[in-house]
Amino acid sequence: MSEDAVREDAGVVSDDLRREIEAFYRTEILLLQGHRYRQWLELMDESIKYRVPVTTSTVNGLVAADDALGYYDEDLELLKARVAKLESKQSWVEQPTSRLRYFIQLLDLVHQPDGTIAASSNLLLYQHRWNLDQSFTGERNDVLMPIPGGFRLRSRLVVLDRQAFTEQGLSVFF
Amino acid sequence: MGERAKHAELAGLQPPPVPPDARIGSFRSGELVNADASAVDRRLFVDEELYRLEQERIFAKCWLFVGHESQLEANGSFLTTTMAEDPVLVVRDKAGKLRGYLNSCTHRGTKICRADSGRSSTFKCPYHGWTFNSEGALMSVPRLGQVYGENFDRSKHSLREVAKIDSIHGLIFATWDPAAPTLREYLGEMTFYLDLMLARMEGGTELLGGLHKWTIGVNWKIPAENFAGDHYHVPVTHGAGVEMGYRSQLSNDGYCIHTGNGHSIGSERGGAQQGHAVQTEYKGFMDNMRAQLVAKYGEKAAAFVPVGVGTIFPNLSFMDTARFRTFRVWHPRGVDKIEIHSCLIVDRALPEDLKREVRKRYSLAFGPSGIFEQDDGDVWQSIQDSMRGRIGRQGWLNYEMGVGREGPTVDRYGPPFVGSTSDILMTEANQRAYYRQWAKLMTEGDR
Repeated sequence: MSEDAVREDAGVVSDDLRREIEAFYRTEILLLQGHRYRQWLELMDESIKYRVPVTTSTVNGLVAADDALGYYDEDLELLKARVAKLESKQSWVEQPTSRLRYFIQLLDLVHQPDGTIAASSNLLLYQHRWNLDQSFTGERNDVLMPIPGGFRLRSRLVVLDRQAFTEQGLSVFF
Repeated sequence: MGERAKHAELAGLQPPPVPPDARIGSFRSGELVNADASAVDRRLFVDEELYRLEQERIFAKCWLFVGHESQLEANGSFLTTTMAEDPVLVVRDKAGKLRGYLNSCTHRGTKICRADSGRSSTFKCPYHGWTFNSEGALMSVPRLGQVYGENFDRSKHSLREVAKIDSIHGLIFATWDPAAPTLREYLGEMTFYLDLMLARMEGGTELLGGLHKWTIGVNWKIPAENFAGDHYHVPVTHGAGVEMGYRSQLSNDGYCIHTGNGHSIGSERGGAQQGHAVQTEYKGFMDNMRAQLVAKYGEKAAAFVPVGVGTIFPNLSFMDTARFRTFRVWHPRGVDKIEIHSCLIVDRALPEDLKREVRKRYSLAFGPSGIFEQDDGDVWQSIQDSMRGRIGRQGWLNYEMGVGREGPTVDRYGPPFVGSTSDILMTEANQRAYYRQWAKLMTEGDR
């Protein structure tokens, strides 16, 4: 067994693969910041599960239950429905459109037995809208599926650090 | 029926006309709301004195929603929420009884519970350690004999308990007013529509998956009156939701019913959120429920499944639609801010996988990220912004739509459909009833 294979067995991702995954996120961030949501959908696997659950405050801190209500709780069909809504000229919450700045950090990558890659990271998102400024932070857990020439997003779970959103109208993707 | 008899009958269906010269604090009632509430002064939404009086005359008097029984199934379970700005702890005590307390230690006022929900038989204050049980009694005081002496009477320091607490179809309400009527008297004829909405299936209802919580910089009455009967905003504010097919174009065929005490409900025919996009099996379930209601009350009853969108005075609103059913409280947080707690209430007997699909359709459309509600919030905040200033707070908002078009619901739909309705969906009859009730309660304190 080669040394590389040993590393892969342990789940560690090679530097080349890390660069490819970082390139994937670079692409995604540019699409999100540019509100190019139709193209952003092309990064999704057909079986995408995209979840941003509500959290409950317990004596042990914020907890996001598996069956919790979502701020986002989508499959591909529902994500497409959201994008169709945002594309409407009558989507008031994004008129005028927000300025968005995404920061993805501490990217931790682990090979999964099924050939996918678990990618967890810290998310910081700053939004400026005509009537508010707000920022979001949270923990993002992705599963990426390698395809020829890149990746598809198989699942995303974002647990936000804030329980009650300040200000109305959540119109950003995480 | 003669005009006069009709007028008298209608008068019994709604709160009294607003008297011109009653006092509301330093205001004359007639300068805030006109007689039929077709004009409402802008200061209702921005004035600090009125906001303080509302705390005393509305929120300390009315029955307020505090949770759903499915959140408190086990004895010893608790949840925390607020009644207006007052933090409350709602528990199912050791004997299984629902109780509500001010979440505040009787020693120095500290919150004795910091979690949203959980199970506990005791609540220990983090400041000095006074500890209360789920019956509200002060169980232990650190160093009691040593620092307070022999004669300290723990029984005088129980948690401040709500005056009354009761539930209907799983919805728990509480009031601070010992003189308040019973919950069913308070809800009055709205009880009939709650029966229609929440007792459709055997087995009752449950709150599914927790709460959406968010804030909007708006006075609490703006969303409450919107849910009371503002169908007029749908084609404009929610044009995007129509365009992408989540809901069909709104017609003017439907009802806006108010049932007294400021409670109201309204629906377009077939219910809100009919649309071709992202459908589920829920439609079949609603069709079935509709057929059952028609079999019971005749063809006209078809209009009442789903029952619609409404507000239970003062600040609980709901939406029973073709896709899901949500309840939400507009908690006031100052004159110009609310914190919303919104939940999904499903029939327990629905198949589990359908519950999941319904949950997803609800959060797609409502809650802070909902493709409908995100636009409401944006519009409402801009209302508050524009009325804040010296000039913005002057003048009247208009509620004249549909004046003179009301009649008893029973005339249009037959028995047992109660309340007052109009012959068009797009009317502000329900908002007028809401502000007449507001004026009734606000003038009572100065009599």
